[in-house]
Amino acid sequence: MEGVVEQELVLAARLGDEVAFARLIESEAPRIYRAVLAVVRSPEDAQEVMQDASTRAWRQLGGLRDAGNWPAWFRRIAIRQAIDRAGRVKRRQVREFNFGSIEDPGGPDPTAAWARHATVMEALAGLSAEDRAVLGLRYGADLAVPEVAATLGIPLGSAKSRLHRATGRLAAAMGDSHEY
Amino acid sequence: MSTDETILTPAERQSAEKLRTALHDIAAARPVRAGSGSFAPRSAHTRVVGARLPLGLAAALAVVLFATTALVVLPRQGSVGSQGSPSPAQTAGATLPGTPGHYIDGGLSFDYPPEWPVISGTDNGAEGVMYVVAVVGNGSWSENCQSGSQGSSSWWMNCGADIVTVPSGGIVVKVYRWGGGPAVPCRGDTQANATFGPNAVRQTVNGDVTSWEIRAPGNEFGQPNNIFVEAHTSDAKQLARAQALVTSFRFKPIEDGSIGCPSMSPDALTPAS
Repeated sequence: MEGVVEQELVLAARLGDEVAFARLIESEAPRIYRAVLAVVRSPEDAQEVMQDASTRAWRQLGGLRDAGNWPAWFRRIAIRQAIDRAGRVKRRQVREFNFGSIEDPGGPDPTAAWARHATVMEALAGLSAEDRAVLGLRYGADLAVPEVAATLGIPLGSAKSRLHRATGRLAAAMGDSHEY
Repeated sequence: MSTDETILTPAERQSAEKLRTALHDIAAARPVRAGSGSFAPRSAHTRVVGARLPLGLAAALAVVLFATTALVVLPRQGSVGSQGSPSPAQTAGATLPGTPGHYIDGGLSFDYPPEWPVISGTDNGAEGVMYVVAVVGNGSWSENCQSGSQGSSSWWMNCGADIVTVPSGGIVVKVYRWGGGPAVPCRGDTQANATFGPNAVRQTVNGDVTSWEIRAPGNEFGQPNNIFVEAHTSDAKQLARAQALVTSFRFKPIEDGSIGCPSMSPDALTPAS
């Protein structure tokens, strides 16, 4: 989305324009959803996180000083919501992935998609939520490392090292670490 | 090849690519519901200050407890927010005797008397944004909300005044965050009318309900994300303890420089005149 258009939408949304806000969300949701999916490892939970994050963004939009910061601001809200959700799930141990319970909207078979990638998604389970977040932002949302750093609110060097370590842990969990 | 990938081993790069493919593939099979209106929470215009919980959670929080003395059931109008009358300037630095309870939740913390059970604490829940930080005291409190959904991804909620029951000589204190979608312009509104310890606040009194607005770091009064402490009591001693709670209130240092008024420094306080 063009930066100027995006800023105009932010300003409109801050004045209560829900359509403008929906457009903002739609522009950012698909990519951040993939990052959230990496963190919570459940499309159902990821949907809820996205809803929660969008609601929070709407309520707090008045506090966003610089409209140009919208993408990073929203991504940060979403990824924090995801990390928080992942922590609660781990603590309570009450939610397990259950693809079958999701209403099937048609289109590609999500169960088959999950099965195709079961190894990598299960490997994610052995990583911390923070590791999954950095991996999800980089490889799910396809953000450049500086954008990952901005989203997580950490220095660029920290983002690089965290990403490197997380990728190494993922490779080890997948049994790929010995393949080179 | 981006900078981060240059430092990956072939195996790590292979894992990263598998992850990228998996996330894109699964997301394509179960795309985020981002259709028009999916993320437009219509309730934002209809909720009242301080009544913020989704119905399910609100129902879960509608607990009646710890009414150890003869209850005087007094359904009161809660959530005065900015509705009440400003009180005279006041300065206090009271602290809580004994070992107080300590509430901490991410960005903020405060102390409260150990005799005040936590009636409700933030769940940061799965249901959505939590605006009520905590409710403590020896009465009961519940929100008064109705909600529903339309389709699979749109929802609504309407809330009335809180339902608060205060026993004789008792108190209910609600700590909540005021927020809303539309922006509130910065107007230089930082003049407090009371000071409690380090917290310069705007105090309002409406009958037995006293409310203190505490500015979030970088905020002015009347802006989103400020904290309100709302005490329901007619007992002077209980009110003093609520003031001690306000005295103990602390925000976590600001993390995100993109919020707040440009003219405000996070630590700026305008004491009561």
